Amino acid sequence: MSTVLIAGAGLAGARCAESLRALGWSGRVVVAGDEPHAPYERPALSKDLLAGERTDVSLRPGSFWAEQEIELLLGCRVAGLDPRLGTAMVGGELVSWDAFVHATGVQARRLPGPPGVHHLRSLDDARALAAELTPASRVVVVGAGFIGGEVASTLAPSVGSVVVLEPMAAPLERVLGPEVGGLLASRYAAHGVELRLGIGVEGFVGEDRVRAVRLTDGTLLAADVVVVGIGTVGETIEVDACGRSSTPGVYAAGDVASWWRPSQGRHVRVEHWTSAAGQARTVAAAITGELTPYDETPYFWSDQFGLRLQHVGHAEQWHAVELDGGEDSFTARYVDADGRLLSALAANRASELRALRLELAA
Amino acid sequence: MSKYEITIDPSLCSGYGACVDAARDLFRLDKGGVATVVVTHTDDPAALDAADACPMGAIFVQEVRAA
Repeated sequence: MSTVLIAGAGLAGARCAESLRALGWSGRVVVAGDEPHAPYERPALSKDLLAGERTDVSLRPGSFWAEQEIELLLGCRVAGLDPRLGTAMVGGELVSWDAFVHATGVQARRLPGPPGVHHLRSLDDARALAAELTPASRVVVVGAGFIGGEVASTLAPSVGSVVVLEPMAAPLERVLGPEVGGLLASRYAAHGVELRLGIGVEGFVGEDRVRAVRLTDGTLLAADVVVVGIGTVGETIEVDACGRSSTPGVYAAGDVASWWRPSQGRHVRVEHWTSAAGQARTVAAAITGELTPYDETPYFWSDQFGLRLQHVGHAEQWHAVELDGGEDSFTARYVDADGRLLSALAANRASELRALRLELAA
Repeated sequence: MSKYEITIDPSLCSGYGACVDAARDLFRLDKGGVATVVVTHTDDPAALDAADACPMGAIFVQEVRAA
């Protein structure tokens, strides 16, 4: 019997397994995840889960995986991948595979610190953070990126104070530019969050427990709880537009995959939900012998400070940003020198999203 | 009797609009950008394409068995 071994039980791994079954794959499907939890919605960690609005963030009901005859091996790392023999070690057991899928994602970039300094990548991270918060907590968030912004926005109503530290001149400046960053900055204060720009973290004060954050200007900022959101690290695996690596039988999908995009003429790696889902489906199809390249416009969303931010496209640089609207609701169009749309951000303008997406795909 | 019954979990929908592209007659986006089902019971297999295309997995299509 043919076996597909999927390393990683995040969205990409789970969706790949589901898609294999939906496509009629009758062989063995094994999903190995290093976390002890069945696949869950990672985007909810910094939003609904931290807000206490949801406690169950499972992707599927508990019985789903057994019903689909998908073997979940949880709390297991995959090691010793041997493409020549078609084997790997999963939690100390040798598994033979016919197709192997890298769907291990990325890890949070970490700042080492004493207890009380948190990172937010896994369900256990989120629960550990939530367990330490009280209505009096002085929370310091390091980094005004997507995670930092969401965490600050989510926690502000329920804790004593929230201060966000950001070394750049505006939140998300590198991703969205200073114009949009400026609009976002004004939302922080309006939601009771102090945003300190142009300042970094030198270290943490406290041994048994964090007491304060030492800033790059030498000053100390008192803190009961610190949340670090300074990006991700991890290996990447280059694959073609169907998710195939250069090693026969070995595929990759999701955050770990540097994916060939025919329309862009280059490999692109993004850490977005929709790309992970689409790539996982594409890999499942490729394993069943159906090669359909995936080349969709990247999309992500973020909820922070009363804004639903929805971003389509992928641009690392642009000629100009065309803004329409104000801080409560706006559209930003990132264009090249010819006025051609490269990417776009809709803030509380969901109704414009589809048109922007179609314009980018045209 | 129609072959498919379509439901959407609005809490999962992020307004991407892939369902509208896949099945223009069955879905639309409301003013807030959330997908709604225009026709809940249909024979149109495009319903399956829409469920497949939804990046959020927010669309559920159930095959209705003839009584």
